[in-house]
Amino acid sequence: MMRRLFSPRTAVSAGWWRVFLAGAALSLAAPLVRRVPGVPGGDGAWTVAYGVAATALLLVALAYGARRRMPRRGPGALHHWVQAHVYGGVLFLFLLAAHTGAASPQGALAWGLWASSLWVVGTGLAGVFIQKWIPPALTSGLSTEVHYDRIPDLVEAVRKRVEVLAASGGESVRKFHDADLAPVLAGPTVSLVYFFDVTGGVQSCMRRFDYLKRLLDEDDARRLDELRVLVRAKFEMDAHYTLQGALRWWLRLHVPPVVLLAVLVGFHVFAVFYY
Amino acid sequence: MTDLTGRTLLRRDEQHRDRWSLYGAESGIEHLSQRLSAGELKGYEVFEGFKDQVLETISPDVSVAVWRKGAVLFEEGSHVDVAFFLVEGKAAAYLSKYVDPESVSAAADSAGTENPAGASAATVHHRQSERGGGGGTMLLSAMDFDLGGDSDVQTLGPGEFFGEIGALNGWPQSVTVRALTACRVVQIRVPALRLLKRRSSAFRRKIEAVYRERALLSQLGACPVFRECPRPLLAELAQRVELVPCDPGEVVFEEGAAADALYLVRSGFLRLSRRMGAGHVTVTYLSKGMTVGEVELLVDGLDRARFTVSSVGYGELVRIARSDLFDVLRAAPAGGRELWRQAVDRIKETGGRLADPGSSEFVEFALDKGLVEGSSILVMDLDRCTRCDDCVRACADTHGGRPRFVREGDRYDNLLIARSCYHCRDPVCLVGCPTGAIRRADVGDVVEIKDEICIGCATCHDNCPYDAIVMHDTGGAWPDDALPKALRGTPRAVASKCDLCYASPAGPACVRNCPHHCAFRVGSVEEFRALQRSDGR
Repeated sequence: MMRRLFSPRTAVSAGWWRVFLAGAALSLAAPLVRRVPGVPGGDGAWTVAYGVAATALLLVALAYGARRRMPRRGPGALHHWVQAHVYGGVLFLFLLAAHTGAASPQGALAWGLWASSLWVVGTGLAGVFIQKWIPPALTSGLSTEVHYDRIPDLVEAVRKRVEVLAASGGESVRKFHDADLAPVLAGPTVSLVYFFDVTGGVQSCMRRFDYLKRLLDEDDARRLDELRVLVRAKFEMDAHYTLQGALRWWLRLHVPPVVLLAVLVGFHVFAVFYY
Repeated sequence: MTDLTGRTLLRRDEQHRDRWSLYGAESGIEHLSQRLSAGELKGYEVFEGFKDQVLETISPDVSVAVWRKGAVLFEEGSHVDVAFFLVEGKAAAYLSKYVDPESVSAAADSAGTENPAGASAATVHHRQSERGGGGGTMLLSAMDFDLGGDSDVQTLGPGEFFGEIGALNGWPQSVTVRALTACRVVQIRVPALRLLKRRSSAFRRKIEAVYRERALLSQLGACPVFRECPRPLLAELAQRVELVPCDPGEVVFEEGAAADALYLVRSGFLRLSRRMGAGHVTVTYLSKGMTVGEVELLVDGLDRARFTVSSVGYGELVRIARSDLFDVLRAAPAGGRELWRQAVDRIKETGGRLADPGSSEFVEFALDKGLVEGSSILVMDLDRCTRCDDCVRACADTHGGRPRFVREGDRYDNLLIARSCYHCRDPVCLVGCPTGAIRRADVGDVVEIKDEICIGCATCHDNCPYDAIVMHDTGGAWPDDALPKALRGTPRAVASKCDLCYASPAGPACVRNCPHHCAFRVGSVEEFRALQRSDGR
């Protein structure tokens, strides 16, 4: 148990995880240590120290964004910066709690700082979770790999091909296309079902193909098989559209509040020095 | 020729200089010829007997250079896509691990000595045997040039070829060559060399004779089977073996065919497959230095081939006839024991594959998708990849806004082989480039394209089996005096491909800028397997 805690399989770097555990232990232990008689420094000094450390960690976490925009000249491999970003962000919250003495915030600025900090760290952790969960789901559940930005064009290409194929078939195939396939192929579909089942219940949809195939002659049966392959590909693209979309959209919940948080921290630091 | 205007002639000279620019900068070249006419080329012994049309075709790929005394024409380990034919002067071929380059420089100062490094106690071949150790596969590209005689340095004189084995096979050069006197050298790039080989059997025989004399003996000597064979017998064998070139997909022999020879792979890869049900199961593949045919030759009663053997890409084999092989084994029984060991390994491997045909899927995939060929393949772990495209953006940022790869390609389990240059050990994209724009960057196996020389003919794009070279429209058009004339006024396109960011000390931007540590460069099938999920889902 202890070995697994200190060398987790899911973390990209066990080293970063250990540094984080040490930092978290220090920031949690510090409020207790400062109350031990004989420990130097008044309450004010400790509070300032926590504040400075929290601000420094926030800057480290923010530096990831800057490094990401410098692919050619940025120092170090980007995956190390992500580790610093994630662990630094969580430690920032711990230090913020120590800085404020975990007391209820007083005033609009304090409330703003707390709320934005909690939101930023919370959405960040949610991002870490979906980044760990969605990629393996896409890889193990789907046979295709597709670019998010190209999905609308690819779906359109599939739709056109299905239309041509169905138009060349008999009446049963055409009716099946108009009633069941055309609405499905209208465009990329975002569906919550893919979060629970990455195949999106495609097997049950395929049963209709099986039933219809029994009623068709050889040529139409072959057409139906081709349609089945195309429709299956469309379902897979929908899954990619939904899940890759989630991987992109969570950033919109995370990044703008980071800017707000940085502004509030800046204002707070300015206010402390100015007043 | 005479219908060309002065401006066009100037442009042609400029293109010729561009093509040979690699050999001008910081080299020891005193003088590099302008493009030579067919008549001028005929003045050199090496081109005697070729028709004017052939010589006119190859002339852009031929130059005559004067190297100054003491200059290094190429170093061991470097990739050179040029063969050299010495017209005047003397040069020394040596292995710098055995010879102090300073001593060769000093020899250059007192040029005229036949053996500048002086007599040595042992030949390179003998030293190599001492180092050789036990069995295992010896990569032919890593082997030493056979310097012959009892010398660490071979002196090359007028009328001799050098560099052609590495150039034609895509191998790094196995020796360093330094000019002992001022040398006038005809330099022939690979496309011209291949054309000359195709057009003239006499030229091909000449190249093969040089290969037999300089390399084959060393290669056979380094092969575990022949390691203990007396050198005179081996030299005799080297003259008797057949050199077999293979095209992609070419069947060397079918399962059930008469088994009458041992095949040694000189370059390229061979697929060994067995019939099973209605199809074929790929049992294994062979790379440089490996042999096939030993089981049939050794086991009594097996006189038919147990495998269908086919070439994966372009390859070269050495075919050793049954009688020649047994002559050698009688003289060196240790070779027979080694051959038996290999045969037993092959039988075990075949048995394993046939008992579990599913296990051959990966071998099949590795051969079909070129995993065995690439020296630096971009692979992404899709279990970690969040499809953020930071890798593509980093590539574009590093290469002037034009990404050199596409995050698409073949998948195997959790791994995606991105459509990016594999930096093949034997790059077929180099074959047929009319200008020499695509070339070895002289950094490992890196192949790069020089934008300024590329004429956008798409030959490399068409040749690449992995669809890793992309044609880009630059938005401009070719000027009125462009050569060839067919280009004039047409849209200017250039080919582009991954250059492994070799100019950046930090390494490939795609790998360095992946935030989730899911982009990797793999250089072998084993590295690829190591990235696969452990649970095998």
